[in-house]
Amino acid sequence: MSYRIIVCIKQVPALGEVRIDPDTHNLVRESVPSVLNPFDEFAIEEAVRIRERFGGIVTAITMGPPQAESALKTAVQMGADLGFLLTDRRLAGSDTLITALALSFIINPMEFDLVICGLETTDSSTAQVGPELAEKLNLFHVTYVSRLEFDHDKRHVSVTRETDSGYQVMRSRLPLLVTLVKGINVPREPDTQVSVKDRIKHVSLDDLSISIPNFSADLSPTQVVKIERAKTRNRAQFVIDSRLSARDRIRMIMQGGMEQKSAAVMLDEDIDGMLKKLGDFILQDIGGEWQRR
Amino acid sequence: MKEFYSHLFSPGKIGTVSIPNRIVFLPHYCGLETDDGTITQQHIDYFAERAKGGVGLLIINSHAVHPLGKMSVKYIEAWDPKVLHGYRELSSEIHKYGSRIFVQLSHGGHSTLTHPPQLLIAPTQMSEPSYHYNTMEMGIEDIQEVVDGFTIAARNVMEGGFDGVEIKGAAHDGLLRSFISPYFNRRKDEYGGSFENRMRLPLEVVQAMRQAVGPSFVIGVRVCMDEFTSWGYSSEEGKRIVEAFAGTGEINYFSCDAGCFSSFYMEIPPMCIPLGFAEYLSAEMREATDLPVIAFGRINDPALAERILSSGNADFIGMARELICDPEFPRKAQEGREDEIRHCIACQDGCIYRVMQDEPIRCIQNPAAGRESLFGLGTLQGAKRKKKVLVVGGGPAGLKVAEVAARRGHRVALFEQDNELGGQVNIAARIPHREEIKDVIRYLAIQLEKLAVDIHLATRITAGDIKTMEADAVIVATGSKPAPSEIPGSEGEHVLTVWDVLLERKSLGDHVVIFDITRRWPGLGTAEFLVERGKKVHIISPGFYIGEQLEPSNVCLAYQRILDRGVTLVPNTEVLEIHNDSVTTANVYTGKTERIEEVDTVVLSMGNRSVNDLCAALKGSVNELYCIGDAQAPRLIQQVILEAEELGRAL
Repeated sequence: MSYRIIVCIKQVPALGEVRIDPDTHNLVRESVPSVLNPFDEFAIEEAVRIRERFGGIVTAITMGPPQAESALKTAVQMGADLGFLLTDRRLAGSDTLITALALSFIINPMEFDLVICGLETTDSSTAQVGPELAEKLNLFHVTYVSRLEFDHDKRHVSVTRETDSGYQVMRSRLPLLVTLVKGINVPREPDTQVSVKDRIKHVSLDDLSISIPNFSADLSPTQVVKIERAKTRNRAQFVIDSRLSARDRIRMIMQGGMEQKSAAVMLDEDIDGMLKKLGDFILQDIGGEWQRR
Repeated sequence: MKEFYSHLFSPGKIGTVSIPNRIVFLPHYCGLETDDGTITQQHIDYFAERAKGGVGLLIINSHAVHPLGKMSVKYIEAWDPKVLHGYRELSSEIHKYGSRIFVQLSHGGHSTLTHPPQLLIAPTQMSEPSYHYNTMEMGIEDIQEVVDGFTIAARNVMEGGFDGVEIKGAAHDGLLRSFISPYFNRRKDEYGGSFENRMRLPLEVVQAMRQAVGPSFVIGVRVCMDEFTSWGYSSEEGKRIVEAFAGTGEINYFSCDAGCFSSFYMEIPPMCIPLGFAEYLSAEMREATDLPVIAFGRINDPALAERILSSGNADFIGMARELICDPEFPRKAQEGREDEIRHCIACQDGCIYRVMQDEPIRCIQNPAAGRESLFGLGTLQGAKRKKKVLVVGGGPAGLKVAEVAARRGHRVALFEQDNELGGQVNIAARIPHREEIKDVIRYLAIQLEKLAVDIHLATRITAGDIKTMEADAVIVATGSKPAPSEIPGSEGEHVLTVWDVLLERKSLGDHVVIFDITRRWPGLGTAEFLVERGKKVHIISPGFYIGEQLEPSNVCLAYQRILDRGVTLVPNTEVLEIHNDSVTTANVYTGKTERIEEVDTVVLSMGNRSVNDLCAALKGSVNELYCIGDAQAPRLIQQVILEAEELGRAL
C-alpha cells in the first residue's frame, strides 16, 4: 500500500532578514533574500521518507508570489514529485484563515492520505495554517508531532505529540493532517542536479472552483494593529499577579493565564455560510469597532 | 533508573530526616476513622498501600489537638494518649516499606465538616463566609489551651514513632490561619491588630512544640499562599507569613497550599484548573525561604513533577489525589512505565465529594481506595480455572471487567461496535474543561493492550455470533442511550438530545433551552458547550439549583465561567410543553406556569435507558451471563467501575 502525501510549504525571508513594514504591519518581502521555511524541510523530508518506504506520491503546495516557485524547486530537489504554486494578486496579504481556505480549495479535489505541514513559519510563527487547513478540509489533525508510525493495516497511524510536560501517543485513522516539530528527522540537502521541468505548476484563483464570491485577501478577519519587540523575561513561567482581584486570579488560572476572548464566535456551518457570516462579522462588528477607534 | 526523572527520584532531606525520593503524599481527611478518635486498621491499610507503591514521604491528615478542634466526630484525638498504640502500629508499618511519615496537627477553629456543628471557636465572633455557623470568641485561657493541645499532641506524634510533625499553621482551614487573617481576626488584645500580633498565636505554637519535641524532631508548616477570596490575602502576604514562620529558626520545611473553605475549589481544584497550576505559588514560597518547599496542585504526571523540581520551583512534589488514584505512581514512574500510570482526573466524585460529607474516601477509577484490604495491592488472585470470557461493550464497565479478568489469567475478548473504545466517556469528554475524563479510558485501554486482550473495534456482535463462540462467560456491558421524552412536543425537529449537541450531529439555533433532570454534567456542561459557541442559553432543572448533584467545586467554577455569558438559570422548574418557538414551564412547587419565548432549539437531558437486548437474547444459552454497567442501570463511572472490579474478581 502506498500513501498519497501533500506537503504544505512556504517561502520565508531568510533568518535575520525579517522586517515589518511600519505602515501596513505586513512582512517586507521585496528585495529580501528568501528561503524555504526551515520547519517545512522536516515536512518534506518526512513525506519523502514515507514514500521511499511504502511508495506513493508527494505533492508540495505553496501559496505566494511567483518567486515562491524557488521553495517548490527546493521541495522537488529534496524528492517531492510535484509542486503547485497558488499565486494570485488577490491573495496578497492574506491572513492565516484565508491562506488555509485558499489551500483547501486546491487540496479538496485531490485524493490524499496525509497532509504534512511544518509546525510554523519563521516569519510569523502563528502555527495556525495547519490546524485551520485541517478544519477546512474536515480532517483530523495533530500538532507538534515528533514521530509517525504506520499501522500494518495501512489505515491508521500512530502519532507521537510533544507537549510542555512530556509527550502523548495517539492513534488516528487516515486521512490525517499533522504539523511536525523540528528534529523529527534530518532533512537531506536538495539535489541541484534534479530537473524541475514540468513538475511545478502555477495556479491562480481562476483555475480553482471557489464557491465564495469575491474571494480574496480582503476577507481576512485578522488585522495587525501593532508589532513590538518582546521584552525578555527572566523565567518563562506562568505567574498570576497577586494584585489582581481573586476572581480575576482564578479566571486567569482556569484559562491558563490568558484573558477571555469574549467576542469569539464559532462558525460551524458549511463554507458558504461561514464565509457569509465572516463577511458580516467583519463589516459589522470589527468594522464598527475600528471606526470607533 | 530512568534518567528522565533524576530529580524526582533523588533522595531528599528535611531537617534530620532522609527521604528516599521527592514524592510526598499530602495530608487529607479520608473519613476512614471511627468515632473513637484513634487510628483504624483501614487507615493503616490506606497509608501502607501508598508506601508499598514507593512514595517517599507520607504526611497524614490533620489530627485534632483539642476536643473543640475536631472538624468531624471522626477526627483522631491526638491530644489523648490513647492514640499511641495505633500511632506506633501505623508508623512501624510504613517504615517497613522505607517511606517516611509525618502527622499534620490542626485545630479546626471556625471550619467544620459537621453540619451543623456543636461549637466552633474563632479569634473574633463571626462565621466563615461559606456557611453561617457562628463562633465563640476565644478568651486568653482558650488560646492557652490551644497552645497546650498542639504541644501535647506533638509529643504524642513523636512518641508514636513518626518522623515529623506538621502544623496546619496557615493552611486552607483551621484556627491558626483565622488568627493570621486580618479579616477574621479583629481582636484588640496582643493576639490581634498588627501582623506581629496576628502571628503571635501560630508562633507561640511553634515555640511550644519545639520545646516539647526537642531540637532534632522535624516540624513543618503548611501555608496557604493565596486565599483566593475577595476579602482574603494573596501571595505577597503569603510570602510574609512564610518569612515570619521561618524567622523563628524552629521550622524545617514548608508545604505550599492555597484556597480556603470559601474558595475550596482552589484548595482541591477540580478538572477545569490546569495541571500544576500552583507551581508559581511554590516558586514564590521558595523566594521567601531557603527551607525545603513541597509543591502542590494537580500534579499527576512524572514529567510535570520532574520539570517543577528541575526548574527549581520546589524541593518536593506533593500529591494527594494522584496517589489515591494510583498508589503505584512512584514505582511506575521510576521504572519508566509512564503509560501504566492511572492519572487522577480531578473529578472529585470519589474523594473530596464524599469526605466533605464525612463519608469514607473512594476513587472513581481505583476501587481499592479506602478499601485496600478488599481490592488493594496483592489481593488479586489468579483464576483457578481459566475461562474464555467475552465482553460486549468497550465503555468503562466493559474495559474494567476485561482488565480484571485478564489479570487473573482468563482469556478475554472484547467487542465494541464503535471504532474507538470509551463509550459515553467520549461524549462526556466533549464538554469544555472535561477533556481529561478520557484518561479513564486511556488507562484501561493500555492495560488491555498489555494484557493481550483480544479487542474487536467496529464490531457489532449478535446473540447468534456469541452462541457459536463457546465462551464460558459472556458479559454484556452495552451501555445506555438517552431516555425518550414524554413531554408533549418532544417529537419536533428542533428538539435534540444532549448527545445530538455534544456530538454535533444536528445544527443549533441561537437561543437554546436545556431541560435537565440529571442535575449533572449533561445539563450544566452542555450549557457551557453552547455558551462557547455563542448561544444564548436557558437551563431549566427541577433541582434546587443547576448542577445540584455535581461536586460543588465543579459547580462554583462552571458558574464563574458561564454566568455572565448569556446563560439564564431556571431551577425548581420543569418543562410542561414544547412548542415550535417557545417552551411552557411550571414551577415544581407552586405549579405556576410561564413561557420562554423565541426559542430556536430545545435540548432534553432526561437521563438514560439501558441498552441490554443482548442479555435477553442470550438468556439460557450461555454458561455464565452477566449484565453490568449502564446496561444494568445507567449510573456514573464510579459505580460501574466498582461493579466491574467485583465481577472481574468473581469470574
